Amino acid sequence: MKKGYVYSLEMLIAVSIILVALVLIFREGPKEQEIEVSLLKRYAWESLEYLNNNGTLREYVANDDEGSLESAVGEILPINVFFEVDICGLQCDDTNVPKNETVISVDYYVSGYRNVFIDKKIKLWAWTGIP
Amino acid sequence: MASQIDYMIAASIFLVVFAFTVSFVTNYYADIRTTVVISSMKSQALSLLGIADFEFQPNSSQPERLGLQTKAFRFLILVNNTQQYMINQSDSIANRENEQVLFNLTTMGFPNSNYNSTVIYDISNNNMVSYQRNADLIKFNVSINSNQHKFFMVYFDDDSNFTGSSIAASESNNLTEKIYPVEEISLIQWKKINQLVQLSYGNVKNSTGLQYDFNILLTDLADNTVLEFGQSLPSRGTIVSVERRVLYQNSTAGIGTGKIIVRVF
Repeated sequence: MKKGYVYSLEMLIAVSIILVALVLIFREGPKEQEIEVSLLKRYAWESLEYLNNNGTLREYVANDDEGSLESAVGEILPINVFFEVDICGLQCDDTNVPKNETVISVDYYVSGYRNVFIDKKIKLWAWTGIP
Repeated sequence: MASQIDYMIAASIFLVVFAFTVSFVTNYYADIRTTVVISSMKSQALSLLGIADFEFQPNSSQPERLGLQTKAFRFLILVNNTQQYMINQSDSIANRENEQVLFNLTTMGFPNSNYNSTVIYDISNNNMVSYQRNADLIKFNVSINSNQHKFFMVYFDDDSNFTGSSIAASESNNLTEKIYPVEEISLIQWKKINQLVQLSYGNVKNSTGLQYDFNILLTDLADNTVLEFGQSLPSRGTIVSVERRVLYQNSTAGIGTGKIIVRVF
C-alpha cells in the first residue's frame, strides 16, 4: 500500500518536471529581428534627405531655425516616432533625448547655402513610442 | 497489482501532458513562421522602396531591379533691381515690366542637358515662368519694381525626353543677374514613371525575383495618384506598408513633392 503512494509521487514529480521543462523551453516566442531600429534610422535619414532635395533644409540650417526644421521633420515622420533635432557644430545638445529608450541618431552635414559657407551638422535623434 | 482505475489515471495524465506539449510546440512554431514571413515581407517592401534610389537595371521590359530615380540639377537666379546691379551705371533705377534674364547651360558646364526639361519657378509665389529657348540659350522676362529683388529657381535634367515649348521673351536687358552655383538633386523621373507603368506586372515580378505580391503608389502630398503599379490590395491578409517622401517630375517637367508608398502582401 505504501509502495503505491511512492509510485504515485514519482509519477507526479516526473510529470511536473516534464511540464516545467516544456514551459521553460517554449515560454518565449521567437524574438523579432531588430529591423525596427534600421527602419527608424532609414526614416530619419530619408526625412533629412527629402528636406535637402526640396530646398528647405539648407535654409533652416543657414538661419539656425531649429523650430521650422523640427516642424518639417514632424510632418514627415510617422506619428509614433518621436525625435529631437539639433543644428550644431562638433558638440550637439542632447538634453531632451530620453536616456531609457532605444534611440537612433543620424548626422547630416550641410556645407553651404546658396553662395555662403556654413559648415553645420544636423543631428536627428529618433525613438518610437505611443503617440 | 494495478487496477483498471490506475491504468485510466495513467492514460489521462499521459493525454494531458501530450496535449499540453502539442499545444505549446504548435503555437511556438506558428509564431516563428509568422515572424519570419512578416520580416521577409518587410525586407521586400524596404527593398522596393529603393525604387526612389535606383535606375532600372537594365532598362528593359524585364528589369532585374526597379528604379525611377534620376539626377537633376538646379540653381538660383537673383534679379535685383537696385543701382549696383544696373548694367549701365549711369541709368537710373525704374520699374521694369519685361526685364530679360538669360543663361546658357553649355557655358555653365552642362552641354548635354535635355534643354526641354528646363523649368523655372518664381520663388516668391512658386509659379512656373515661361521662357524662350534656342538650343542651350534660355531667356525669360521678369516684371520687377525698382529696389525690389526676386529669386528664380531653375531645374533641368540630362536624360529626359520632354518636348519643348517656347514663348518669345523681349530683349530689354538692363540688370545684371546673379547666378548661384548648380546643385545636383535626386528625383523621380517622368520618363521612368511612364516606362514602369507600361511594363507587365507578371514579367516584372518574375524578372526581379520578388517573392510576394506588391503595389507601388506615388502620390502628391494631397494624395492624388501620380503612379500606381502592381497588384490590387487584397481585402484580407497581412500587408506590410512602408513609405517615403520624394521629389518627382510631372508631365510638364514641373517639380512636385509627393510620397512613394510600397505595399507587400
